[in-house]
Amino acid sequence: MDIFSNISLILDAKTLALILGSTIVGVLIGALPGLSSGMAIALLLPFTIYLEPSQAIAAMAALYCGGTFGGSITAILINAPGAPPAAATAFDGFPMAQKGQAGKALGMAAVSSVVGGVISLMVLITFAPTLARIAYKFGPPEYFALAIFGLSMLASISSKSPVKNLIGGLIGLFVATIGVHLTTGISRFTFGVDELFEGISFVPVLIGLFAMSEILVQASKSELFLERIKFSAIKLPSINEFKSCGKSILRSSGIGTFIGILPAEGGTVSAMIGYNEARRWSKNKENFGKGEIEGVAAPESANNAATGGAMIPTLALGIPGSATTAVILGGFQIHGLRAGPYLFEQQPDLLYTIFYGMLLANFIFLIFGLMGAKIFSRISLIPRGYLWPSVFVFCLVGSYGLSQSMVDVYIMLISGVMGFFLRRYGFSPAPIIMGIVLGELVENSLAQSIIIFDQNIFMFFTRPICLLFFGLTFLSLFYRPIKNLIMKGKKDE
Amino acid sequence: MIKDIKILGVIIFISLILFGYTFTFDEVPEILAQGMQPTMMPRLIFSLIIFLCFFQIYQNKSLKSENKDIIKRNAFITFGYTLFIVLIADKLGFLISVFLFTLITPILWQRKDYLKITLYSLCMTIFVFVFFTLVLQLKFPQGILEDFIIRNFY
Repeated sequence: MDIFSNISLILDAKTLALILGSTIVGVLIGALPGLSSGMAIALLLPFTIYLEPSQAIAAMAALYCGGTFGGSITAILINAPGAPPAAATAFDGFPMAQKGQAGKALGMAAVSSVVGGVISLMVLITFAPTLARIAYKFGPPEYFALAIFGLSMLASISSKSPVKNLIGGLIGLFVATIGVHLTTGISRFTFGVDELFEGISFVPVLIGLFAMSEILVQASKSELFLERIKFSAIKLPSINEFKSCGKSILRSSGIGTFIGILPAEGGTVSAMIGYNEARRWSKNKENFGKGEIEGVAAPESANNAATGGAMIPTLALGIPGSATTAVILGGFQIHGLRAGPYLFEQQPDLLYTIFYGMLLANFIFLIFGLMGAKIFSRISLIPRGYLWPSVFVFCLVGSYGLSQSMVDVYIMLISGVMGFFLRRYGFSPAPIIMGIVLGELVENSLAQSIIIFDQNIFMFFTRPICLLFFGLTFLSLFYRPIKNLIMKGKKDE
Repeated sequence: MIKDIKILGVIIFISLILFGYTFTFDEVPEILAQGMQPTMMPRLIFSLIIFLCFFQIYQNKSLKSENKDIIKRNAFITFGYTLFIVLIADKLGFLISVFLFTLITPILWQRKDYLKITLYSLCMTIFVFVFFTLVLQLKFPQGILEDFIIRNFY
């Protein structure tokens, strides 16, 4: 396959304009808390009927990329992740904005997102069919092992106390159990509220824990009149800062691409794992959670790499790699296309159009992100008396807009109060989010695995991928104590 | 007092109540439960939470409780007002709620530039209406403005 000779597929004015427009709309919608790129694509779908299939799919793919990046803007500026994959970006992005380094955080988010996106696209175009076949081997036991690996990171996901992190993660796991139990149909903790039968939506909890709790924190601050303008806020990162984050960006891009490939995983888990791995290997690990620039670079490259990764099973197998790619598959059907192994043989042009569309989208939001960083970062200079009431309006609209239910607004408010008190007593919202993300996966995949194994849980150890993840879990939990023991032994000698 | 004992005590108390609540779940025959009763995961989670809370108390036993900043009255007022707005949003409509919230909150936060606040409040309300209702077609409860909006904008 000659990649470069097919660039002409997108070199017409209409396609270029569509990709440009979709990327910018994606960034703007992705930046609004509660409005995801999936929702934006769903809104775009009816209009794509009038387009050529390749143009329509390229526009949707560009919107997907732009939306994933857009979530980081509000995560950094106002601690309100525009979309769940940007939750991990807020851990260090918002403290950076509070320190007057919003421009640096936004600039780093733009560059690392592009690196992650481009790497995953290269993987998509080169290895898609092979990787899709590996991902196809993931059954419930493998997902369970992967989720356990994710949970093993709870203790170290933030710089707060490991025990408190674990308690936070378990609270998240509890939230994930609310609703009807998958295998038995018994409702749990729904307290007669019909809207809770399908479980608690992740987005209102996310908005509440991050943005609403921050509004209450800001309200309790006394120095309301000391709103000094921090002009350093609009400075972009230096070349040295980019260089210092290089390893983290590359590592997270790999993590994001791989996790993105796994059906139904996606950007949120990738970003959390990418963040945690960056913290684990960083020389400045004690600065994580307090405004460390690597803590922005890692999750951003991971969540954007997951976009390319998620397209691999979507295109090669017809299995969506994320909620948004599921909507894109809907777009395929509208245009009479069928994703799957034959797509690569029968319609290579379509594949190249998607590849170039996403590649171009990455470069558009790099320019848009870097140029816009100076403008967006001025948001952090808006007086608090105007900024935070506006944030609440987005919280209200975002939490309601998802499923058009007031129950989601109440959940957002309750999460906000809970987040306020938990933060006050040294609990980080990060493990709670991780617990919610992985909770459903842990319980459902365990239940399905028990059925598959006929209740013999030792069968987990007969599956190589499970063994690999259990091994990684063991290393994740015990690497440091073992290393300390070895070092101590050497010193004693 | 031992550090964090209050918050950990509250978490233990709530976990115990929710653990007890799992006994009200319907029983499922073993053949249907397939080795995993619906109570299993929640009970495991609450047991671990309670264990970890006691472990944290044990770890903190020699640490004294820190004097935390008192939560400012403004935080309670803001929360009370936010709760009020959320409760009336369904009946009064989102637009009026947004207008009232953005009008009063800056004043509660001690801003005194009333003209600017009114302008800001109007702009936010119009933005929410134009962008979310007209452009993105999100259907918010419009309360007392429902008839007016349906007649003029749909």
